[in-house]
Amino acid sequence: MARPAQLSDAWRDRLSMLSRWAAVTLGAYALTVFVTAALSVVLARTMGRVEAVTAATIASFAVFAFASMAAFHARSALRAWTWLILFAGFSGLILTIFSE
Amino acid sequence: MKAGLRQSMAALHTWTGLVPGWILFIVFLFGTVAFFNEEISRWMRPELTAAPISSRALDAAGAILKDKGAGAASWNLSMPAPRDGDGFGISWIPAGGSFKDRQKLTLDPVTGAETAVRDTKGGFFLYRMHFDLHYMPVMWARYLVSIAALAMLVAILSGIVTHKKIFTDFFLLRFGKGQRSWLDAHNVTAVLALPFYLMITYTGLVTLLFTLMPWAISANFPDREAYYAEAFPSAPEVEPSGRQTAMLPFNALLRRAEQAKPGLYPSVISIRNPGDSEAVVEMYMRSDTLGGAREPLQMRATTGEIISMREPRGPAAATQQVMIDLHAGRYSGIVLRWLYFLSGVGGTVMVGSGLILWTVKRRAKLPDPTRPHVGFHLVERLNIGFIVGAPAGIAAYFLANRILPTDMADRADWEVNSLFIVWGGLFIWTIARPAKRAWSEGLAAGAALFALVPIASAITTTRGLPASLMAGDALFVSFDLVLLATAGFFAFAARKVTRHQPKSAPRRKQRALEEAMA
Repeated sequence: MARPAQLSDAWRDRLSMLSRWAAVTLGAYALTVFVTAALSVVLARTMGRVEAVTAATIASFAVFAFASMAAFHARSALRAWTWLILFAGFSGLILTIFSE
Repeated sequence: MKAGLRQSMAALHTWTGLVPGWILFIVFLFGTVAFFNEEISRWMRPELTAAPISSRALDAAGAILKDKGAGAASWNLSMPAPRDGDGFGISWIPAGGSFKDRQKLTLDPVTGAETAVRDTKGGFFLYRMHFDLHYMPVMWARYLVSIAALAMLVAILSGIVTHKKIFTDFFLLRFGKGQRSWLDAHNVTAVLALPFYLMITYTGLVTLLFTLMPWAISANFPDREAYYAEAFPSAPEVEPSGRQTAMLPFNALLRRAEQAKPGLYPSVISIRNPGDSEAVVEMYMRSDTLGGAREPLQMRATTGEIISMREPRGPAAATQQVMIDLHAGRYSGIVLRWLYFLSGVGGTVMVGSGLILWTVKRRAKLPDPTRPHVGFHLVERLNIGFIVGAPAGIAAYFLANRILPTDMADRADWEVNSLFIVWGGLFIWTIARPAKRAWSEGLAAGAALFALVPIASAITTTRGLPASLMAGDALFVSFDLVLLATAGFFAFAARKVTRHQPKSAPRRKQRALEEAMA
């Protein structure tokens, strides 16, 4: 029974690596989409819409860099996804509250 | 992943650096060259006189446009800048014609006499190649470049975490030690200008702001058009009256602009409905300041009365403007420009050495170095093809500028094609050769091409190195000297690779050393 177990371990590692890279790239990007949109509608309450769009987008690249590094460093791919989804959900909530 | 922060960031650094590495190399290489794009344009148009525009030339331009451009829907003047490489250009679209029928003339900035200038895209092409690449739709290129830049940002930040001894490594460059030397080279070039790389990568992303991140627009506006309409309101369109009224001379219009916008100087002046009593002059200001309002100026051509001056935008837009200006470096004087250039060279070497390091590190661990696996083979071949091929292509671009006949059809396009023909040719050649040979032959070809440029320039133009030295023409002298220095660097590298003999070292180490240079 040792061999099939090993094989499935190797596949689990491979899948977990794939899932982690998906979190680092696509996941971090999806989070950035929500954070940028949320930040822009919040800022739009205090400054002009055009200004808010520019300010939030300038910040978006830093958000992505931080999110992807955090996702790569997370203890497991599952944890990375959990945090990404939690933060994205929170930003999504702010986005719906603040946009008319 | 149970590894510590440094280990996990090292892995992130490796892959975010490698995968977009070749695009980053191109972006760094062409971007570095583009800091001198105006100077390059000037060198590539040796027929041009570099001088501030005279009022006589402006009057001459007015006379030519009145004569040849009568009835045109619009006239355009492109004004020479202090570092300008495009000359004083005038253009017009003949009555009833479209943009395709546009007529263009280059005038002498002092006398205003028509000047025949060879057909070239000059430094402008190298600048566009930096973010628009070539032979592909501009938008695809910008997506690719933006994604690569975003990966670069992650690679830089994770590289900083990975790096244990930023300060000590600053003083460490050990030559002839195989993998260690490549790591040193990568570290030294990376650390030396680290703030520059962070700045240039982030501001680069800001220049292509909405390419990857259009989401703040989607959250606030129904579509992009609505955003642009609000961000850049266009002045109301003025209808022509059909009555002929003479417009003010260009000299008077420029004096009027100087009063309205002190310290700014137009780079492009466009006149809509010239000759009509409702003719409008639009002036687009030069972008050679760091930040500051540069909104275009509109005035009535017949009276010089200011119609609209777009309001300066808010702090976020001002931040964006400063970031873009920092990236392009157009505000910089000669010393700062050289620092930009040298930092760019450092960045190009950083990316190149990082790519080579990837192969050097793995070659020693290959089960059979004579038959590397597909991934290794691919990285090695792409490395040679890009690191050697792209600079050689730039040399070919300069060479084509000097040797293609001036009356050749589509001459400017063929200069550009020359770049890619030589690059592609070298790429194919190096694929066909063993790795070590490929490096040394590719580097030697690059050296020869760079060395040929000043020679061809001296033969085909009157502004070769000896003549420029006699005339005290600092720009032309420096240009040829930089080409010769580059040729020297390539020749030195080719020699190093060819002569490299592993010393008496343990078998495993010896192999690593030998292949480090291969």
